[in-house]
Amino acid sequence: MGTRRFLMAAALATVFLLPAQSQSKLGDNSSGSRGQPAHVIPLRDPEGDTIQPGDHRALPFSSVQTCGGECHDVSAISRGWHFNAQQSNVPAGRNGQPWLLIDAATATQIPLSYRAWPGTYRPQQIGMSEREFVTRFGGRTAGGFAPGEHASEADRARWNVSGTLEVNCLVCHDASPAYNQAEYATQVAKENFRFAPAAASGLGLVTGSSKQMPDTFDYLLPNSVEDSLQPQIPKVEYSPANFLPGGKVAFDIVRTPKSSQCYYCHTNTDTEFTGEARFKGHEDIHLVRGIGCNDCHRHGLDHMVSRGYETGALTCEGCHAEGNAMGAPHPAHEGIPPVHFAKMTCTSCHSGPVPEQTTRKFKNGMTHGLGEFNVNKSPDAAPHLYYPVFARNEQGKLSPNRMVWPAFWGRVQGATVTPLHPDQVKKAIAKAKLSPTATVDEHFVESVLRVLNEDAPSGYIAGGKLHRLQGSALSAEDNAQAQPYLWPIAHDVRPATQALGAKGCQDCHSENAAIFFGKVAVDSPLASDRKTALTMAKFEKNIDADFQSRLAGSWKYRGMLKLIGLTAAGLLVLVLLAYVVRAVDRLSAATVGRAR
Amino acid sequence: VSYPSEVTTVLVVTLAIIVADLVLRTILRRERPARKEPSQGSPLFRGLRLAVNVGGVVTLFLVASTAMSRLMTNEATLTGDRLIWHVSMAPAFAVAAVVVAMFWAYRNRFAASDRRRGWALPLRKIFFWLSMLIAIPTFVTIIVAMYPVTDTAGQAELIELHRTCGPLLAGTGLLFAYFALMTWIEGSKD
Repeated sequence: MGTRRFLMAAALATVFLLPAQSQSKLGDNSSGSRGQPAHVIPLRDPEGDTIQPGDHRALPFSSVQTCGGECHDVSAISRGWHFNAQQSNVPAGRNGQPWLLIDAATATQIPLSYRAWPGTYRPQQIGMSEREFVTRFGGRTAGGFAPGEHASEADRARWNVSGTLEVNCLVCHDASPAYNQAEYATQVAKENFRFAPAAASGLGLVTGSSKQMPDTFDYLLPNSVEDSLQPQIPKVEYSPANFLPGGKVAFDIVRTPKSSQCYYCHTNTDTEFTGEARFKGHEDIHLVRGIGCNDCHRHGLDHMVSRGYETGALTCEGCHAEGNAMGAPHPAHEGIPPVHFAKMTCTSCHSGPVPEQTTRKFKNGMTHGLGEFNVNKSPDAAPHLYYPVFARNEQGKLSPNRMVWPAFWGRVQGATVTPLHPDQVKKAIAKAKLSPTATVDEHFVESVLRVLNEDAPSGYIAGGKLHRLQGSALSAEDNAQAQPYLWPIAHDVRPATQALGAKGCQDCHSENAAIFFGKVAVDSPLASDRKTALTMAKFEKNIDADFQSRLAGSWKYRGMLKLIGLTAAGLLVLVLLAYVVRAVDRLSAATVGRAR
Repeated sequence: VSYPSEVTTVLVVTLAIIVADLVLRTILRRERPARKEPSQGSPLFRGLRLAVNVGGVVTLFLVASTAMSRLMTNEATLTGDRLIWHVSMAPAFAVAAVVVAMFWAYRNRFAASDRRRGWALPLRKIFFWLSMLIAIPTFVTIIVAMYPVTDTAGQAELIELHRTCGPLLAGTGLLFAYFALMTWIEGSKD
């Protein structure tokens, strides 16, 4: 155990604790060549030893050791956005897409994040350990997870069995057709964390499951488990054909990942365009024009990928207003009053679907596991995500957002609801003698709350309301934690011809304009919640819906206003001209001594 | 885009002087009523002229006051209900401006004898033609800004021009109304 702990500590230190000792390594100090360097390199196991094709009981290769041993400063890289969520000294940044804990039996849908985004919960807040978090979601990440400082002894024992989920460079940089992120996700779900990169790379065949191994399992001494578990021992078999003479392996590594690799996790797909209708879907205008994700979302060695904020280099304004990077056209915005740019983001008119009378549903790679094996392809598969919802951003500008309604059980103290882990709720469901597959409705909620209330005052948040038992009856009340979680839409970007306003002012300034009066779907297992009628204006703080309605009404007379204004100006010109002509005539007459 | 405060200051001071002067003259007039010339034209036209004059002043006051309301709220731009009111008043003012032009243009022709008839008459004529002249860019700039013919910067300039011309029009319009009143009080035939 002592050795394992030492090795674990060493691995963690490699990933997280050595940023101060960052130094430029062979592959980090570019000569300036624009060519693609060959990556013919030896595979290294978690201990740093080279893996040879003929090795008996070969160990899985470690991406940190293989990529970081001599060539790349993984400790610096691990501070990048893709890996740094757990690190406490990282700014949260703008609200982003949360992880969503979904549990159908308890009708739970909780937005989680290690970042301090208002409206999300840290996994620890619902009693979810890092290990559980990684097992649920790690397959859709680029790695970089290890036990936190508060991990229990039992949890640490399981981490020893599974290994840490190292930073996996191959997720983005392996362009080989054999690389399979779905396989990576499968291995993570089996808690084969240390085997996942090897399995995904296609260089080796991974079998077994760490999840089945006892807490005492040691991957360096795998045969120490009892006979019945022998078939489940996680192991990897490398194909000798993948090794070159000398025992090295040729990786198809690219400096700039293809957009399709980003899409494995960063896919957002309208549910209308899934299944057979996939071909009807649209693409971001930048991608259509040949601009890939990495052309804008660039980064240095620190892998702090530039995020799609509105201003700064390689952003909307950076390319289209302040400069013209990559030949970005400078928009004229003919006829659009400047006040729009002070009060709305570029994305309001140019990103996501054109708003309609009701919000649309979409699926997401990270939340729905799109692209994974046996994924639920139903358009109604949970979680239910909606868009576009127009709301004020931190700068007070109107912007389109994606939205999820939180739904969870929790302990209520004052106005604060502390979420319960679904496993705790399941115990209450069993105690209430309800079927685990029972439909969650008002009766179900009443029954479960009755049991939960035996321990402490409890409630169920869903559909924007906190549901509690008042006596024996279920009541619903407003609660801040019940409000939907929103995060901004950046893509897909629509060109000028498809932007809001391209058809005229009445795209937004009409009495039923979706941007103000479109209905926002309320998602809840309870029918009473779903009846709630919400419009976009509710989320657009400081927007006076009545004023927008009056303004839209005034647009009917805009044509008349223009006609009267121009006619009046024309008549005044005629009057002026008439008297100017007379004045000129009199002046001309005066030059020859005649008065008119 | 900043509002031209100098223009606004001039307008507000002009308005204050006019009001003060009118109050003083009204007090003095009680003591010594002005001699009035017999009214010209048919009663129908006299009534119509009065309606045009009152309508012109009222619509000018409404359209200017809704625009100036921005100053009281310290907002950068005229928005919200006050903008709707301003835009609603504008067509009425535009129509009134044309009718006032038709009714007053002939009477405001410059003549050599103007110099011998005090200050009010020539000033009335000067401010009439100035207000007619300024009304044209005031109307045209904002109407053109409503069409997709210029880019954002161009539109901002058009709106800025409207904001500059607007107070000037209000100022010259009020001065014209003031001097028209003066000449009426003095019993001028023009």
